Amino acid sequence: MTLSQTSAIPLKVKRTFRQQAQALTLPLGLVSLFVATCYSLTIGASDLDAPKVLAWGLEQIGGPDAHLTSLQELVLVKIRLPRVLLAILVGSTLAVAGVMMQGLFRNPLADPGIIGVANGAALAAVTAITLSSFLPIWLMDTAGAALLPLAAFLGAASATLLLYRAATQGGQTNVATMLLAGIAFSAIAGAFTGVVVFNSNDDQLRDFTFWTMGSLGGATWERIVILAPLCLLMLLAMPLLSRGLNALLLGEAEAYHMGIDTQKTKRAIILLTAAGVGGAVATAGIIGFASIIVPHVLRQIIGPDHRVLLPASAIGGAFLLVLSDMIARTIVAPAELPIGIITAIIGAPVFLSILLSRRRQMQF
Amino acid sequence: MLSTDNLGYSRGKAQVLRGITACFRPGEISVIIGPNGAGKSSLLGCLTGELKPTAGKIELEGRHLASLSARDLAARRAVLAQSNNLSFPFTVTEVIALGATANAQHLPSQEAAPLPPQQMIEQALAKVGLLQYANRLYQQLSGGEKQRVQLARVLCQVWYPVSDAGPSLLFLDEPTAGLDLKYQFDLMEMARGYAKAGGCVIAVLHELDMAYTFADQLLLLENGTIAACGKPEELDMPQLLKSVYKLSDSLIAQKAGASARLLA
Repeated sequence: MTLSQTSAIPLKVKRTFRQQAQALTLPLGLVSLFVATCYSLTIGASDLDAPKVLAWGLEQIGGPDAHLTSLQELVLVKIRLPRVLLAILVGSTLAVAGVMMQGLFRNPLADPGIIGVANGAALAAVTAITLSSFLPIWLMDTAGAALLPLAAFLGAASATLLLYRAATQGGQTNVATMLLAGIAFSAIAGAFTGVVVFNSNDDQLRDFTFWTMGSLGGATWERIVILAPLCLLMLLAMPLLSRGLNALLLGEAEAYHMGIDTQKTKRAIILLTAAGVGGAVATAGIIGFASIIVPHVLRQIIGPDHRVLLPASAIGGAFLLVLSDMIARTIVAPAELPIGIITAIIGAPVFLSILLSRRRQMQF
Repeated sequence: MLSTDNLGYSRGKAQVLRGITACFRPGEISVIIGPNGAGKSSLLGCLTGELKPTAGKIELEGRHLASLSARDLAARRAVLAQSNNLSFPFTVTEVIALGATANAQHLPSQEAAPLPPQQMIEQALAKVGLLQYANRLYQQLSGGEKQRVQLARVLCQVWYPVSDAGPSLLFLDEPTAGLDLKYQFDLMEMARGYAKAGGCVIAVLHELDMAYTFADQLLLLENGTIAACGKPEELDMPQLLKSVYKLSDSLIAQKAGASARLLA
């Protein structure tokens, strides 16, 4: 250490791989996402190749006629487009919610699907489906569409709050407690979901299976209308929260010392992630591990700075789900796998590797 | 100037601090010492605004500390805490940048232009002797190196000892723990330089000889109250150590003997 207040030494910290990656991630990510989206629109029983899809896209923004048959256009607009859009929305929402939750818990293992937040949302959603049969028809007609996302949001919010209370003591979050409490909470939510399922009819049963497996098969424009505002809310909040999230990584006391209103920041994170995860679960069921793979991989490349990590994760999450959905639709065609299975197959090993590397560093 | 008047703090039923009336002046290093559980960290917590006092008041330049927002406080004071764990792969530069960009309110007192963050980070790195580690991962550093990175971050937060809002405050909670002897001295010399330049340094220290050497004002806590306060050379240290730390004459003689042999 030197004592001089000013330094005459020529100090130049050179530009690192990480800084270069940070500059490249967003444009590269957007291009990959665009390509994957276009390609995804071409997959399926109906013959629609990439030039046709692009021509159709150009037609929508005032280009020449794409010469699609009415059936092709119907397939594109009613089936494939909502599906890929839902994949993008769910993917970004889950990945961004994951980054925020991991920042809140100061732990890269916090995943809404693993620590019970998604299960809380699913339980509330399932309960809402069952109870809805008792509600008067006029109420269902007017407020029915909002009931599910609202229930899922409340379920996710209470789960997050409960878990945070359980795992945080004196501003420090204990990882073991967080994971164990998450497992316990998932089990409780699962058990109650079982009770509800036991007392349900065949139609409801089909709906329930959808919640627990996670699938984009039910994509409709209505579902997109539900999720889009919630996803947008999260994306808009990212620049406001990134500095607070960065500071929180050092610890709650440190964040306060650095001028962050920690209570307000934490409350905003809990509400936003609950709204996002609730919305994602309400529209696509529980898709596990998406919130853990994307942030983890991106952190290795561009680092944990939330100013870059949040937008990069939004794009990365969308890319992962579009890709996983393509695999889910083609691997056992003409049938399809629930997308949750694909993300679990990719995600579980990532989760395990983080757990093992952290055990080596004795950071529990 | 930071001052407390009859400050008290309770955690549940336990009264941790009571009747603390003290004054922390710019241009000085104030060192808080005392046995384990005497209330040193709680006092520091109250002074930084992190803990809310349950009795009495704290004033910064005549304004109630409680009336200042986290943001306003952050422009005036920085805190080097004891914990330095970080479970995400930040580089050393990125950690320090968190301090350098923590607040846009902290500006130099004269008309001088504020230092650009990148230069501030580089100068801070040079100060703690870690320039060659700029792009290393924080997690891979040793405990002492992490502590020095945190010091650089904290220094960047209150870079100007006297900012346009008045003297800055630098809080150090057992800053020398885990550091080599050389860096302990370097760190305390740096703190002295900060105070000489007009800043106010408040430190909790365990090493009594270090406290005695560097303190302009020594504050000895015992069971949550002030047992003694003043310039080190004006205090009857042997008597205080015996009564507060319960050290016997033979132990004090032994320690003095060991130090003498070590330096002979």
